[in-house]
Amino acid sequence: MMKTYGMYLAVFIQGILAFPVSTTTFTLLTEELPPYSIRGNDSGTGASIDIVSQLFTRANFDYEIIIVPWKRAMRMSLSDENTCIFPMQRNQEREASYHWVSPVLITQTGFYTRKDSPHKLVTIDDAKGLIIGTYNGSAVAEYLTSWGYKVYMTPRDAPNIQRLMKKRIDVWAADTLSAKYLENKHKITNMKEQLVYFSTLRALACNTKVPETKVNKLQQELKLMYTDGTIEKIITKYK
Amino acid sequence: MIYEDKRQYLARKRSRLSELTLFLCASILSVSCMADMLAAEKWVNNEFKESTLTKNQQMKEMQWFINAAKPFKGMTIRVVSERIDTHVYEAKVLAKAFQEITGIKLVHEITGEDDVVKKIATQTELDYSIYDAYINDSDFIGTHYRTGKVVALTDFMVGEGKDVTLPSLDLEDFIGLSFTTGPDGKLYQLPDQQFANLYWYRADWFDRSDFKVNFKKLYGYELGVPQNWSAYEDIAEFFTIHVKTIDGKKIYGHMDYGKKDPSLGWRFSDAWLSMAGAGDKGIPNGIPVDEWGIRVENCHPVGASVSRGGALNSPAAVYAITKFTEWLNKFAPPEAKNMNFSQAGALPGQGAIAQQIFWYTAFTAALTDPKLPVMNSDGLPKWRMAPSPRGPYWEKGMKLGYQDTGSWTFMTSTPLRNRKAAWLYAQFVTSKTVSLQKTLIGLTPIRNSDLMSDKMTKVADKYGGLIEFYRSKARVAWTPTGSNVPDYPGLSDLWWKNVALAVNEQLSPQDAMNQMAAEMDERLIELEQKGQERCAPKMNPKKDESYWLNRPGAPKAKLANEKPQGITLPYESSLEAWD
Repeated sequence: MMKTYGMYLAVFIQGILAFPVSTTTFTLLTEELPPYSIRGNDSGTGASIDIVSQLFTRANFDYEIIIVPWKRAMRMSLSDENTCIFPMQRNQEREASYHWVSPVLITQTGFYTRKDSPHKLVTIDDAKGLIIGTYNGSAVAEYLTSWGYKVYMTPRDAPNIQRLMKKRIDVWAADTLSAKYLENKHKITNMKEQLVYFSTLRALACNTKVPETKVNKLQQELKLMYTDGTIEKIITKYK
Repeated sequence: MIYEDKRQYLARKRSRLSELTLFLCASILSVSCMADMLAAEKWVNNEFKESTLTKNQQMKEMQWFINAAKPFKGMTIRVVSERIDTHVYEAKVLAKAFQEITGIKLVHEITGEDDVVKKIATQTELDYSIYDAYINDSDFIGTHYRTGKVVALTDFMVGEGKDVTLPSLDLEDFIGLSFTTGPDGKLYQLPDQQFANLYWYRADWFDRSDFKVNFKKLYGYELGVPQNWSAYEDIAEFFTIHVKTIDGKKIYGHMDYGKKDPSLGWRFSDAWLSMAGAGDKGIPNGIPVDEWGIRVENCHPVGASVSRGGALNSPAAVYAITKFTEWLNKFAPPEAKNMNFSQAGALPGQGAIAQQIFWYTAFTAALTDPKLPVMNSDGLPKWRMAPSPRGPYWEKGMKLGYQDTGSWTFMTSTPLRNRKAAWLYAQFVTSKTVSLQKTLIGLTPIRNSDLMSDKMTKVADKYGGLIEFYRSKARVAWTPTGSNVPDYPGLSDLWWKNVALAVNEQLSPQDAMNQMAAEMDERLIELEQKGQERCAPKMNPKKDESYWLNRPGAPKAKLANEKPQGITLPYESSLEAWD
């Protein structure tokens, strides 16, 4: 009896070991930035949340999406294992600090003014000397600061549209999808897109302790999502 | 000519130009033509003053652009390039000129070089059109030729793009076409800017009699432009260890950068191994082994590691990495180890660096700022640039250094209409109407006619030897990465990720290069299995390294003496040595 029981136990244990169970749950951090990421039930919705959720589901990886302020998300993704941040601009300065799955999004940044603004922006140079609104820790702020522009930063981007309307800033440098979303939400009719001056590859940037095999798997799935039209379908839903 | 006469002369000249405008527009009875031509006239008169063309010839080119652009008027075209002075001028000035003259809205994005690489790699991989054109380094020629995703301009100019190809483009006038031509003889990219990686030094310090005497006493030969790495090392030691300070300020005999960052990658892939002598003879890149250490047989890459006939972990390559690390630690400012390319670029201009073996001429304009301590009060530089010294493995007939050729590149995934409009812009910013003025701003020459112009002769002494280098025969031995590299974006990260391990002393140079060579071979194997449109890798089987090291050519066996006697030459002789 004991021998039979032992045999069954051995078979049972072998069976368990034959099927590796991933106990890793990825923590995926993003900021609230409609329409890319909107707080809601569970992990929220939005273009980037939908893309990343599908990506991890297709790769068969457990995950949890948490919305936090961007700077906190950056700190946590650098220090915590199995943690990724999205949608992060992939640039040379950050390249060595993360493992990248890219691009989860290709976004564009534009200069917005009031319709009655006297400023005409044909090239990026035309914004020099003007007060440009953007938000802390953003790639937009980094880029414009590196060119020596007068940048007025706020903790979040959403209030900048009102600052523009109240003439507290001359120009709002904003993501084109976010700008459209906020324009519609606040029923703004006096805003003009002057110049879309930059395109950005935005990635899922993972802590360097995330194994390269998992990063490669995510990258393969991402490519499939482009080729089968999934990414385009999701973006179109939020345009 | 007295002042009043000169004013009248210029007024008559402008009046004749306006008459030409009227005549050309009257010919086609067009009001909008008039507006476009007046815009062209304004730009030709005010901005494009320096040109190898006459004003009439410039206006005829502008007329051609206006006519060719008509079907595309009102379109928005988006292009991208890296951030150097030439491209900033294009983005801020030339894009505006093009828009006013042709009515095509041109957005010229400026970003980091690594971002340009990532974006073109993304568009290649996904067939998703992000930009209508790229100014992409011709280091990608091997990649572009093999992927089938880049438009062959040779075919485009006589086919789909015939009606938008400038009759006066004069391709033969471009000095860098061999870099952007594939092994099939087709042009894949059109050069927009070129700069070389040369040796930079403080000529005023090298001319000091006290330094000359002391150097000769210590090393047994003259202080001058180093011809080999032995001399470079001696001079570095001389200034850092023996001279130490000038006018109470600490000075250094070497400058470089060592931060783990993508820019550490091109520090090496921009021909550091060939400067040491790791590859084979043969211009432009070495046949069969190039400056990346990749061996190619019948257009197929066959391996990077010595065991497969490559040279990436060869004794010459290990020597190159060893010297880089040693000089960075011993002779460069301590903060250099934690700097990247952009951060390190400003340092020679601050006045504490005696020489720099790896210096891009793209920094020439920045270093001629009259406020800098490296400039004389007469507006001439205290510094010079000269052909780079070579390592002990280098042999005559090899490529020596790197030349960057940022070139217009068009993807098959870009819609044809957008491609044609973008091609107009590419030709506008490289046309003879514009190119000399652009070259004077950014100092990245692409046309022989500009280099040989009277204007260039007049200004040459302001630029520390740049014009002299480009007019010399030495120029031929400075080339971009060539067609041996089958997937530049897919392989380039291996450089900075592995060399950083040696710089940070996590691995020895030999172990770091062994690891890099093994990883590169793995990726070449993946490419072989995945396949490419043409000339994919066909990997050699591994053999004992001695098989390859005992054969002539690369990979070369370790030299018994890696530090022969230092050799220097006076500046003028250092250029003549290439004749």
